[in-house]
Amino acid sequence: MLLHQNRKGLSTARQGYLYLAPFVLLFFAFGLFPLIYSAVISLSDARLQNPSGGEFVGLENYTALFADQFFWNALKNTVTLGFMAIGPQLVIALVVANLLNYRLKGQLFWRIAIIVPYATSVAAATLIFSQLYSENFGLVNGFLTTLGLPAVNWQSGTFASQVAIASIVTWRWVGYNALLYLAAMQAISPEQYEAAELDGASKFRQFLSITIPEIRGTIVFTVILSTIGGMQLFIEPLLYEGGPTGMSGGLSRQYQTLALYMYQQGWANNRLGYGSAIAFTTLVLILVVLAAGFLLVRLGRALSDANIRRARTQASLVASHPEPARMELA
Amino acid sequence: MFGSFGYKEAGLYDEYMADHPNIKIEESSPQNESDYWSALQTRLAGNSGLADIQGIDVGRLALVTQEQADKFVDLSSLDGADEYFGEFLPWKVQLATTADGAILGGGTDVGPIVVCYKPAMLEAAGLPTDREEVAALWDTWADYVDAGDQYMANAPEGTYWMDSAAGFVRAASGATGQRFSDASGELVWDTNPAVTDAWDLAVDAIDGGQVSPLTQFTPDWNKSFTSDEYATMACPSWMLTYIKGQAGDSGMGQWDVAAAPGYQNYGGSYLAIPEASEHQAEAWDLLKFLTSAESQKKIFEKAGSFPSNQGAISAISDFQDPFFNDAPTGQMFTEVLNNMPEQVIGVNDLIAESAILNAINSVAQNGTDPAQAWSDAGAAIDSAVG
Repeated sequence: MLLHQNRKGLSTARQGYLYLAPFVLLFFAFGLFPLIYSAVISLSDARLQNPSGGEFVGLENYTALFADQFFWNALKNTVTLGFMAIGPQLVIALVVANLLNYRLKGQLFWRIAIIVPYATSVAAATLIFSQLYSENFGLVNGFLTTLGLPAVNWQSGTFASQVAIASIVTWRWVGYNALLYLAAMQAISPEQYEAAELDGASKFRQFLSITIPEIRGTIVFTVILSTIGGMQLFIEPLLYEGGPTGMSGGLSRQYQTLALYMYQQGWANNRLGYGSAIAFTTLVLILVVLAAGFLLVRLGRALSDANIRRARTQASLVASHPEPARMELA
Repeated sequence: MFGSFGYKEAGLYDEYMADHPNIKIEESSPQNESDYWSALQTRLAGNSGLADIQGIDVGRLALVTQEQADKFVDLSSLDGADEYFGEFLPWKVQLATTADGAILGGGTDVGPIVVCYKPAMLEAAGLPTDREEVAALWDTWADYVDAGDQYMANAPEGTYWMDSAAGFVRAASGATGQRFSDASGELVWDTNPAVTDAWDLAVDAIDGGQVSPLTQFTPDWNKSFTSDEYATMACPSWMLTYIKGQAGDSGMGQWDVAAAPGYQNYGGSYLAIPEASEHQAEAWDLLKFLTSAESQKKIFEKAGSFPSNQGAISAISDFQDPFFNDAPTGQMFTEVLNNMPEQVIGVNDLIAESAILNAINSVAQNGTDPAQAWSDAGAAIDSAVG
C-alpha cells in the first residue's frame, strides 16, 4: 500500500498509532501494570497465598526496610558485586574490541567467538562455573594447589565468593560489550590514526588519545546498561551454590543481592508486600544512579565544551594581545 | 528426597496407563523443594498452570491446611474416601486435616531415621562394623558424637565422622516430634530443648573436627557419595534412595544401616489435587492408585521411599536392601515408626528450619562464632516471619 493513496483509508497519523498499538498494549500489560501493581502492593501486607487481599499499611514496609540489616547487607553486596563485575568487564571488553579492530586473520571467526559466552544460558554458565570453583573438587582450586598456593574457599568466603560470581558475569558480558565498542570503533575515521602514526604515536597512545575519546558515548552507554544489569543481578548468585542456600545468597548471605532478597521475602517467606517494597526501592535506586550518571555526563560535556571554548578564545586573544587578555580572563 | 517420588522408577505410570488407555501421565520432577514450592504458590495465586496432582512436603502442610484450604480439593468428600484414609497411619492423615475436618492430601512417604555408615571406614578407625555393634555405640545423639571422637582419634587422613552439621541437627532435633513450633503453632525453636540441645551437640561435634564442611543437597555434597569423605550420616528413609541415586552402582555394598539413637521422623510428602484441576475425578483415581498399599510397597522396594499406607508397611516388614549389605531396612524403619512421637508442624517451620540449618552450617564451614550464628538465625527468622 502506498502512503499517498491513503486519503480514502486511514490517515498516516492514525496508521502510525496502529503500528505502535501492539507495543503500547504489551507495555501496559507487562510493563506499566506490574509497576503500578507492585507499588500498590508494597503499601500493603499482602501475602503470596492471597496477593490482592493484603491490608493497607501505608509506608510500614518501607520504614521496616530501612531498619532491616539484611536489606542493607543486600544493597552493599549489590554495589560491591556491581563494581567487581562492571569495572573489569568493560576494561577487558575495550581491550578485546581494540584487538579485534586490527586487521586479523579469520576476523569473522574471532568476532563470533567473542559473542558466544553471551549466547549461552546464564543457568548453564553458572552451573559450570560453580563446578570450577568447587572447594574440594574444583579445577580452580586444583590449579592453585598444584602451584603450591593455598586452596581458596570460593563458596563461603565473602570476598572470594563475590569475586567468583563477578567472574561469571564478566565472562558472559565481555563479548557483548566488546562488539558494541567494536561497532563504535569502526566509525572512527582512519585518517586520525594515519596522522597519529605519522606523528610517531604508539598504538597504545593512539588507543588512549583517539579511540577512547571517540567512543566515549558508547562507553557511557555500556556503563549505564551494566549498572542496570548489576542492580538486577539474580540468577548467578541464586544458582552459584545452588541447593537450599541459593536464595539467601550463601550461608551467611555473603552474596545475597537486592533481587535475591526480594525473591526470598516475596516467594520463600510469602511476604509479597515486603518483597514489592524491596523491588520498588531497587527501581528508585536504579533511577537515582542513572540520574547521577547523566548529570556526570552532562557535567563532563559542559566542562570539556567550556575548555574548548576557552582554548579557542585564548588562542584568538593570544594572537592579538597576549598579556592583558590572559589577565582579563583570570 | 522430595524431588522424586519414585513412581516412574517403580513402573507405576506405565502400569496405570496400560489399564487406563484414555489417561496420559506427565510428571515434572523438581530437584529443589523451595523452588518448587515458590512456583506452586505463584500458580495457586494466579490460579493457572497447575498440574492435576501436586506434591506437598510435610513441612508446608500446616501452611496449606491453615491458609490455603480453599485452593485444594477436600479429599474426604470423594468416592471411597473413608475406606482409603483408613489404610493410612493416623497421624499422617491427621497432619493433612484442617480444623474443619477437610483432608487435603493423600500420604506418600514418611521419613523414619536410621544411621547410614560405611563399614570400611569404621574398620579403618578401629570401630566395629557389624550393624548391631555399631548401633550399640550410641543410646543418645550425645553418644553418637562421642563415637565421633573415637573415630577421629584413629580416622583415615582427611575424613570426617558425619556428612554435615545440618544433617545432624535435623536428625537430633526430632526426638520429641516438636521442633520449631508448639501445638498451638507458636514458634518455640529458641527455647525448645529438642532444638537447643541438638544445636549444642552439633557445636561440640564441630569443635571436635568431626563434621564435614558440606551443605546438603549442593553439587559438592552430591559428589561426596562417590568418595570417602565421611563415615556416617543420619538417614531418613528417603535418604537411602538419595544415596543410591548419587553413589550409583559402584556404591553397592559400600554402605550399611544401623539403628539411630532414639526414634524420630524426618520429612515425607503428600499428593493433593488443586481446586483448579479440570480432571479432579481422574486425578483422585490416580492419586489413590499411586498411594495404594501395593504401589507403596513397589516404590519402597524399587526406590526406597518408606510407605505411610499401613498395608504397605506390613507387606515390606521383611524387606532387606541389597544395596546396603542386605540390611533389614523394612523391619528397622517399622520399629522407628511404631515408637515415634507424634509430629508437630507449624506454619513457619521450614522458614525457621532453613535459618537454623544455615546458621549451624556457617559455624561448621566458616568458623562463625556459635552464639553469633544462633542470633543471626533469630534475626533471619524474625525478618522472614515479619
